[in-house]
Amino acid sequence: MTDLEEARKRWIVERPQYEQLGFHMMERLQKEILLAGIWAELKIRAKEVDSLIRKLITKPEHTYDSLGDKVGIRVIVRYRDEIDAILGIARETLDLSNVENTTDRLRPDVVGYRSIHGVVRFRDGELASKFPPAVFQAELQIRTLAQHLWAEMAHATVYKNDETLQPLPNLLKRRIYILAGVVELADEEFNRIEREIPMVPEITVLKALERNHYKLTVRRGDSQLSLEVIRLLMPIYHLETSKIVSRLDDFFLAHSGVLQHVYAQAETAPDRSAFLFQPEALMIYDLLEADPLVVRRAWNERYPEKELERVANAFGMSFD
Amino acid sequence: MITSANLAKLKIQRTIFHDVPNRPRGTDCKPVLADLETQVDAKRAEMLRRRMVQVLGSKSSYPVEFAVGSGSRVPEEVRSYTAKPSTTEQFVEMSQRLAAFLFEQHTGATSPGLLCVIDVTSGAQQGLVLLKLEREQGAELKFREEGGKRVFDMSVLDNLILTEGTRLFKTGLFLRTGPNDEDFDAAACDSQWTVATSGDVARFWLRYLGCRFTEEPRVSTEKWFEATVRFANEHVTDPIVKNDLYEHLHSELKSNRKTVSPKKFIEDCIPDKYRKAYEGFLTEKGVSLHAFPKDIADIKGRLRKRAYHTEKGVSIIVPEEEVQLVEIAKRQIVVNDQLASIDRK
Repeated sequence: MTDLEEARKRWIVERPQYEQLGFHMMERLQKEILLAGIWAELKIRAKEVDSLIRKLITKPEHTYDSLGDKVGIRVIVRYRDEIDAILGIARETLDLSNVENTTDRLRPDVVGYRSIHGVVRFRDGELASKFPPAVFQAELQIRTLAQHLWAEMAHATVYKNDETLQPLPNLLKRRIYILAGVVELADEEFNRIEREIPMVPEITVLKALERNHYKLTVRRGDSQLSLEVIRLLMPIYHLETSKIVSRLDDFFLAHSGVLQHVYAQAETAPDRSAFLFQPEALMIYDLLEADPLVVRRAWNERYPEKELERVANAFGMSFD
Repeated sequence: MITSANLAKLKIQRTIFHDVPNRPRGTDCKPVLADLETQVDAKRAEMLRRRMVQVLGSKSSYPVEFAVGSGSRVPEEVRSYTAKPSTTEQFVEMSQRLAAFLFEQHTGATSPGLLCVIDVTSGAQQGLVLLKLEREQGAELKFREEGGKRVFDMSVLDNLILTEGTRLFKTGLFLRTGPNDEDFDAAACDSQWTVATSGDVARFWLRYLGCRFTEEPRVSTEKWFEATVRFANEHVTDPIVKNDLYEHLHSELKSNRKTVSPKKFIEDCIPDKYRKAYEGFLTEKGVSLHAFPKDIADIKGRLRKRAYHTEKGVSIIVPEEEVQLVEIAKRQIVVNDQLASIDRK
C-alpha cells in the first residue's frame, strides 16, 4: 500500500503540473473536435488532495504512480453516434490506450455509470518532452449528455451502482431502475431521432450550417430562431436544398480564414449581434456578399436592421 | 485593394489622439500633442473597430495609393512604422510627427480637429489608420496628466467617434502587403468628397495623406460607362429595361454628384434580376464596385447625345436636351418630331 502521507505531499507539489498536462491535452482535442464540426463540451479536472487520498484508500491495488486518473479530461457530446468520432480524434491527436466501455461491466439488469474511458498520453513533440509518456497520463472520459445526467445525479448518491442500492426497499429500487431505463431510452432515442429526423429543407440547411458553425465555436444557437431565419432567407437563393447546402459548404471553405478570425475576436466582444453566434450567420454572410440589398429587404420585414448591420460589420461589410 | 476580408480581420493595437487646431495668420496656435497612447477598453475598441468598418467599407471609401512626389510626410511615416514591430514610444513619436505635419497643412480656414492614429493589424498584416475628427471650436476635450505626460481620455471616443450621428470622417487605412515601399493596400474616405465643393478643399485630406486615387477618375468613369452600356446591350433583352438603364446611366453621369458609386447605382437603378449579373460583369471587365470620383472628361461627347439602334438597322441619334421626344415601347420606337431634311444634315 502507498504511504498516504508521502502521496499527499507529492500530489500537493505535482498537481499544478498535472493540471497543465490536462489543459494542453484538452486544447489539442478541442481544436480537432471543432474542426470536425461536432458540438462538445470539454472539461479537465485534477483530483483534489482529499479525493486522491480517498481513491488510494478505496483502491488499495493502486499506488500513487499507477493511479491513472489523477487528472481527467471529460468530453460530453450530444449523440451516441458522435462518441466514435471523438475516439477517432483522440487516437489521432494523442496516444490513446486501455479504452473501456463501462457499460460492458454492467449486467443487463443492473443500473450504473455508463461512459467510455481511456488513458491518454502525449505521443511526440515538445509536449511529450515536457510531459514524458512514461510518467504522465490522463484519463479520458467520453459520454453523451444523457449519460452525463445520470453520472451527475449518481455522483455521491445511492444511485451509483447495485451495491449502493442494496439497502433500499424494493419499491424504491424499482423506481431507480425505471429511472435508469428512462434515461438510457432517452439517450437512445435522441440518437435515433437525430438519424431519422425528417429531412425537411430548413432542417437540412440548419444541419449543414451547424456542421460548419461548430468548427468555429462551441456556442450553441437558438435553433427555433435559426429555423425562422433560414425560412426567411432560403428563398433568396432560388436553389434546391442540396445546392444550398453545397454552396454553404463551399462558402465556408473559401472564407474559413476570415471566419476563424471573426469568431475568435467576437468571443470577447461585449457588443456583438444576437445573430453572430447563431449557425445561420454563415448564411447571412454568404447572402450579404452576394446581394446585400435583397437580404436587407427580407430581413427588415421581421428583424431589426441594426442586428443585421452588426453581423455585416463583423464580416467587414458596411451598410453606409 | 482593401477588401471586406481585410476589414473583418481588423484589430486595434494602439490608439492615440492629438488636438490639431486651425492656424489663422498672425496667431500663435499650437497643436496639443498627447505623450501617451489612450487606453481603450474592450467595449469601445469593438465599437471603434465597427465604426472603421462602416467608414472604410462604405460607398464613400476609395482605393488609393501613395502619390510620387506628393510632398506629404505621411507615406514615409507609414512605410517606416509598418516595416517592423515598434515600441509604444515609437508609436507615440510617429503619431506626434503626423499631427505636427497636419497642423502645418492647416490654415485659418481649415476646420480644427482631432487626429486619431490607430495601430492596427489585419490578420498578419501590419497597418495604420488615420482619422481626422472635426470638432466645434471650444468643444471640450478631456485630457489628463499621468506622471507629467499628457493623455487624452477615452471619453474622446464617446464624444467624437462613437456617437450615432457621426458616420463619416476623414479616414485613411494603410495595410502593408510586402517589404517594398509600394507594397500597401490602402483606402481613404472623406465625407467632403461627396458634396459639391471645390476640388482643392475636397482633396485636402488626400494631399495630407500623400495619396492619389488608384485609378485616374476619368479612366474609372469611362470604364464604368463603357461596361454599363455593354451590359445593357449584351444582357438586357427587354427594350424598356434597356432604355431605363441607359437613362439612369446618363442621369448619374450628368448629376451634380462628385462621385460614382457602382454599389449604390446597383441598389438604386438595376432591377433585382440583373443585379448579380451586372456585378459579375463589372468585375469581369475590371471595373471596381467601390466608389470613385467622377470625371467625365473622356466621355463628354457621348453624354451630349443618345443613340438608339433598332434590330433592323435603324439608328436614331438624339441630342441629350431633346431626349423626351423619343418614346421607347416594347416593339416600337416613336420619335415625336417632324422631318426637316434628308440624307446628311
